[in-house]
Amino acid sequence: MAEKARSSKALMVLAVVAGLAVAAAVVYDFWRALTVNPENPWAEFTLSKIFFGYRNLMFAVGAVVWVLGTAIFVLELAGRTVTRRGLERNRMGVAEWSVIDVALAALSAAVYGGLLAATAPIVFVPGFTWLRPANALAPLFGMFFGIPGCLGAAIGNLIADIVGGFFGVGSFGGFIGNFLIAYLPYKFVRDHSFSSASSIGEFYVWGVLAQAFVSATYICWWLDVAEALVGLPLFVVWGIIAPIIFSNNIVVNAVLSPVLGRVLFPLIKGRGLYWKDRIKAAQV
Amino acid sequence: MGPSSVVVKDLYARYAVSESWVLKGVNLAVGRGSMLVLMGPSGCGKSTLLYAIAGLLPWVVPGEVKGEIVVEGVDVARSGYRGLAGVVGIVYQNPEMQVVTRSVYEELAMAPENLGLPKEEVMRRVEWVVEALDLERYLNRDPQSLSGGEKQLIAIASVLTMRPRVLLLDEPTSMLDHKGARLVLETVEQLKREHGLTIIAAEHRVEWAVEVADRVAVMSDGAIVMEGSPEEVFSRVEDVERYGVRPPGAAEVAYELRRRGFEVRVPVRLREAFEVFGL
Amino acid sequence: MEALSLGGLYVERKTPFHELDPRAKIAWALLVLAASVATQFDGLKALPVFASTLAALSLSGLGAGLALLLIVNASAFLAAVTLVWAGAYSSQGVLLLALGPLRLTDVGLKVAFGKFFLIMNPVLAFAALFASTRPYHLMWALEKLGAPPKVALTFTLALNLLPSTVKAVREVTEAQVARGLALDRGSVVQRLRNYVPIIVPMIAKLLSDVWDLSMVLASRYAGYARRTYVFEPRWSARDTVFTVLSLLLYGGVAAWGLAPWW
Ligand SMILES: Nc1ncnc2c1ncn2[C@@H]1O[C@H](COP(=O)(O)OP(=O)(O)OP(=O)(O)O)[C@@H](O)[C@H]1O
Ligand SMILES: [Mg+2]
Repeated sequence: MAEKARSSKALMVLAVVAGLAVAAAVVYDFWRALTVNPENPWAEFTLSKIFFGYRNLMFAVGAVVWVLGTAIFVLELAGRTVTRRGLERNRMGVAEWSVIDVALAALSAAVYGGLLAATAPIVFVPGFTWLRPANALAPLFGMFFGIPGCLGAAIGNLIADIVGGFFGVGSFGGFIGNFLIAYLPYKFVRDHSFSSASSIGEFYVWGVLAQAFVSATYICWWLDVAEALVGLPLFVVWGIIAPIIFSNNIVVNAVLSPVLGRVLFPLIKGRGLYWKDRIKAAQV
Repeated sequence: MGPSSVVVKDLYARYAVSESWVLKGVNLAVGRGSMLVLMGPSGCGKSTLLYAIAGLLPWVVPGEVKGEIVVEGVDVARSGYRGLAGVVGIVYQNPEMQVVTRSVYEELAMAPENLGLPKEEVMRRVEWVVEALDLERYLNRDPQSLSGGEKQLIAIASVLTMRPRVLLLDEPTSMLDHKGARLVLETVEQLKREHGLTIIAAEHRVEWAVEVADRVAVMSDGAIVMEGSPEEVFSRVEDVERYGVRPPGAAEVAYELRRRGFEVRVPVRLREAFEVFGL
Repeated sequence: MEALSLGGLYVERKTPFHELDPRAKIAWALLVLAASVATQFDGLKALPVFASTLAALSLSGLGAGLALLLIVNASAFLAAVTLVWAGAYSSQGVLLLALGPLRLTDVGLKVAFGKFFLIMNPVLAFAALFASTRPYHLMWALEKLGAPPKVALTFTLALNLLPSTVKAVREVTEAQVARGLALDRGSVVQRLRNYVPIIVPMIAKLLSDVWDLSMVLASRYAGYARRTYVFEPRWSARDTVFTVLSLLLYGGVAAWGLAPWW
């Protein structure tokens, strides 16, 4: 028993170390790429080489991610969730939403969209600005508020596209992509409090590493498939946008989400808005 | 007092997150067409009582309610707020969160639209409330640009389009400046006078309360500890002060005189003070 | 903090574009997209479409200057994209310019502009659509398109709440900066962490707003019955004329774009 606890704790520490290491490596590697090739760092950036170099593989993986992700989006909004025992009904489908769920989703969307629209991205290497601190909220909305929070992240991102003046065919990818960023840690992290080793460890697995890969491939597969409607060359899609999404989501979520989550979880629980508590209260 | 519009019997209420009962055995009866003002220090349970009467607790805000609440014959404990459509309208403290659309007309139409009333009926009701409360001048304004008092006025009008018989007001002026508060309070008086609504208002502006309320109830720690006409309540000097309610200015002078041994009647309204003090 | 444009936010105006039926505007935006798709290999043929989106921006009272602003905001990205496209076609057509590794041919130039317009034209069309269509009508249109009513309501509420949220973000940021918060100071990690004192108060506000908004929605009976729309858009002769003209214009442009012999 103690043996098992120790090894699971070691796994959790490993997940955190891996998440932070990937985040640091991404930042360092971009800086290195920029020193080697200041005109076109993307030709040198390792992430670009991976995503673009293995574009066919990424395209195949992206297709699977896209189909699964879109299906999960539709199923969850319809109140169905995939479990080990198969498809089960839960009480979080839109049709069963109370006014609180609507209010939670709308306010999450407004705050997420408002922060995305009103805060300038961080210049982390001069001339390159893509770290968006607000992105750290998406996984937290999912973990704390459940499906309404996931939809809030999706709508918030969409609204940021609309008011920022870059709404287009590509926005569909960002819509569901952000839903998934919130959904993965909501569904797979068991303890959402950020106050135990397993909570933080699992967050680094799902809310940092998995989420970054899934959102990057989901969005970029869509941009790739819809190339004739979007107008982005494959190199830009896989060699620039995919690494940007991946590195932004890794770095921002690894650094900021656990800090915010730890502060916010008690506030949300104290207000009775944590989704597990709300479901329990509804069943009584 | 005529037939009761709102009856509350032995009401206990708590929130899902609270440690003990917030309301501890509240009894209340409000006559049809009359106005009750709830007073009491912060945290005594005024809002909670109004949420329970409106069927929001525990139907929207999770919690537990025990006891009996009947509003215009509707058993609220059984039906929740959904059973009160067209019966109760409630207005809250914060003007900012009560304006949720981008035009005043949309705001006024929202509730009857949500009730699924026919288009013509919705429009008739909006026209009625615009006329009744003289809102014509706001119709072309972006609601976000209105002052706090104007927003509260629109919030009141927005529930009136459901044609409720009972209006619940939860400190509608506490976040307003003097001018905004006057706008709202005058509207409330008008609604009582001209439209015969039953009104329960939590409101700490005591000078206003004594002028317009038929009854005043003082709450303390989740129970109603004093209830009666403004005269009855505010002539009980020690009690009023003990429960942390500020007496009306006119009464305060009399309290001070009594403390110094003068046997004077306690006036609660300004014009009575003129009589009592022979001004 | 740099004030980003809120170009697609609804602006209350009385303009011909505002008065169009939202369905006509949605159809128009999709036609702009279709015509841009059809002309993506020849920027010259995409020019009329671009001109029409500028006209729409003017007609909706936003001003064609918004297009310039949006293009400038995205200039680094647009430059990268167009250069890549020009490079991809550098072996076709007549060489116009050779600058180091960059070989610009006439075909490459046409494609680069075509792709530029394919990206920008729909963006501008949707900006005009959203800035001239009330969230109320977007909600109506979303429901008509089959979105669940509560999703349509959530989207509309979020759009309506956005201006006050953006204002709150700016106020919180100013207050924290006044207290000595330096957003652009420190390492990458430090710069990210600088946002904690901005994000936490925003969430605290969200948490108290949730109850207020839920109770307001309940006492206005949101989701109670099938909603009536008082301002249900009425398709008028003007909408028909606008749609027919759009079809002719964009259909013509698309045919021109797709015809190989032109
Ligand atoms: N949504 C809520 N969840 C949990 N507890 C609450 C909630 N609202 C109020 N309370 C608690 O219930 C008690 C009664 O509060 P209530 O708001 O009813 O008082 P009030 O008389 O309206 O006070 P105020 O004058 O400050 O509005 C307080 O202890 C308060 O902290
Ligand atoms: Mg209160």
